[in-house]
Amino acid sequence: MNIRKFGSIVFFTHILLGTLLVLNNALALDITIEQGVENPIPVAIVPFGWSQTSLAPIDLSEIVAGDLERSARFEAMDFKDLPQRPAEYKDVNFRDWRLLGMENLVIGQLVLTEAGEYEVEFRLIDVYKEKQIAGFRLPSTKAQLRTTAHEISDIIYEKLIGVRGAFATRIAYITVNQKRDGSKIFSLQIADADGHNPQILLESPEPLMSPSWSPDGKRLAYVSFEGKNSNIFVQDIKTGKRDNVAANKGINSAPAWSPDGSSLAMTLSKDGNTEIYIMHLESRTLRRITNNQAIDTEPNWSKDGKKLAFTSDRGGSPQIYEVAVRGGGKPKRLTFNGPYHARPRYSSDGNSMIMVTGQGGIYRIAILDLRNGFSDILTKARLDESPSFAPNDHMIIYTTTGARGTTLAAVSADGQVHQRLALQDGEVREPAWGPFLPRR
Amino acid sequence: MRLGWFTTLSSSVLSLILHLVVGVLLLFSFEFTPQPKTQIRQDVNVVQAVVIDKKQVDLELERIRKIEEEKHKKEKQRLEELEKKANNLEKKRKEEEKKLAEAKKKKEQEQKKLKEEQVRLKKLEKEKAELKKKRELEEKKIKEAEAKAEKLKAEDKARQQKIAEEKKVAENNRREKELADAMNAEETAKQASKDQELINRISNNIKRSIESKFNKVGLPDDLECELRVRLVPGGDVIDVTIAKSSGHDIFDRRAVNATQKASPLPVPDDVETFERLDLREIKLYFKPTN
Repeated sequence: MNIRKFGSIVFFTHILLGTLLVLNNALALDITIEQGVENPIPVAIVPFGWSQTSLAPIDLSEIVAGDLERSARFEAMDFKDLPQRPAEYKDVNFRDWRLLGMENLVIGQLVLTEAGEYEVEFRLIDVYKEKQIAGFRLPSTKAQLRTTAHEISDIIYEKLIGVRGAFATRIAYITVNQKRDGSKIFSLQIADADGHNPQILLESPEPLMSPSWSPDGKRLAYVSFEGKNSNIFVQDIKTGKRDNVAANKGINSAPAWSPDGSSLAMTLSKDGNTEIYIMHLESRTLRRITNNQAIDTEPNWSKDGKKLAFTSDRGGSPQIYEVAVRGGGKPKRLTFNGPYHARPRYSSDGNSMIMVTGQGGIYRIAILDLRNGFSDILTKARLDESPSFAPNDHMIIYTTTGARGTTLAAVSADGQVHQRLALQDGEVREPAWGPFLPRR
Repeated sequence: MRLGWFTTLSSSVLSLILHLVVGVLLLFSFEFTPQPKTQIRQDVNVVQAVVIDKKQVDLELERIRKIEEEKHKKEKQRLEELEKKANNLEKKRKEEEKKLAEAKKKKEQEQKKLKEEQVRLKKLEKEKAELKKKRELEEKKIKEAEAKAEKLKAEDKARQQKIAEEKKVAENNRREKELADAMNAEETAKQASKDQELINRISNNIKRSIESKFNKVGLPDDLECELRVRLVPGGDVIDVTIAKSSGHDIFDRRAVNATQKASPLPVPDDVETFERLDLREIKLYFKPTN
């Protein structure tokens, strides 16, 4: 307890006139708030207005509410519970919202411009302060309206949590579908972070693996077995143009884009053993990073571009190691607690790393605090794999395999929130969360 | 006929004398009393006509002439004397007059002097009266002042007496109060510690109620801020200000929101206790630990 009371000392020796005065002056309350709760932040998203009489082309507020709720940091008020539906700031009745304990209010409208384009205007309002926290007018197109809604979610998230939201981002993943004749079809796809708008970038009868985003979000590197051998390709998302950047003898796998976009780290066995290399994309020159009898694979760049984490069984079991990109040196082992750790992914802030931890045939997603070496297991299923951080580090997307096959799932970095993203038919593998879109 | 002449002559002489007399008289009579005229008329000898021989007559004439002459001379002398007398008289009169005038003047002067003296005296008297009045007034004033001083003195004395008495009473009271206080000391201490207990309880309640509303979700660690909160009896939060910001807008806002959402804060319903414990303004330190 940390309550300061200056009045706790009462001078009984001076019992004359002073007593009451002493009491009065000294007993002002100083209270220290040491605890708090970790509750979703209440937010009310009023259905956006629409400039036309026709049916609105999209329900922006529903998308925003869905985004915020999915992050588990927010609790959007049920639309049916809204005490009023103001489209403009001047119509807001703050008292009503306060009575409901509502702290934050989002109002807005969708406008069809004379040019036939769209414009979304919205305000985020602090109900208790009766003040606008943010107000934006975002131009959009019919095809972009969903993305615009996600951008609104990002702004709200940033203004109320302090970290940019990752709703207007995309994920890449591989699907495996079985055709009627029993043959499999692999496809490389991208979709909005909420699973909407899936796009197939590549289909192949041979396995596709390990998609990796370029930092500008315009290209993907991946592994394709289309030549019966594993090759690394780089594909432009918009144009579909692809480059086979690594087609060496043996294994060409696990491409990982450097944060500056200039290079790919990858696993090659061209020199006899599986080792980590860095390829400069422009010159296609290779630099070997590891040199060890064991298997070294699944490299991942720290966000400052200075280190690579990778999986190696050089210690007898698969564990995570870290090595300096420049200067080499002896790799440093990061994981000790458990017989199996693999597929490391650094967080953007560099404070933590996610990975797969396995024991007794059970594989789960774990997070390692790089500052103190402590790790936490975030997931609960039997076979959870391929974790990938959202660009704001708040969520982790991964695959989970259960009775319904292999599907996408997400967990918050603090392990509090679990979600299943059962959007795809068939099996989904190796999701990779894309970077932030450029701010506008 | 002789008689006529004589008569004529004597009447001529008489006439001449008369004329002279009259003339002389006239000469002076204007300013004098008519008395001398009368006198002159009585002195005139009325001539008795008698027939005498020439010689005799001549003699007589001569005698008469001589007498007349004498008479005339005498008359002249008398007239001169008279004139002289008159002159003297005049002189005397003038002198008298002068004297009289002087006397008058003198009298006037004296009267004037007297008047002046009277005026002076009156003035003097008046001044004297005024002076007297003034003196009386002054005396009165002095007396009044004295009376006043006396009164003040008396009052002062009374007051001092009163103060002394009051002092005495106060001293007595103080002693009594000291005694009473000493006796109540334990009581007072008990009240103070009761208040302290109450304060502790209120602090804890407020702390719990705000902590239950303070949402830390997504916030970084190691932030602190200080709020100043104004309350009214009943616990309604009427104002929250950020006394010291954490430097993190969202943290500050969450702290403010928690405080406002916790309103009304759990304070005693009773206004008297609320005032006694000085709950109108409280300070909140937000310093969450992990």
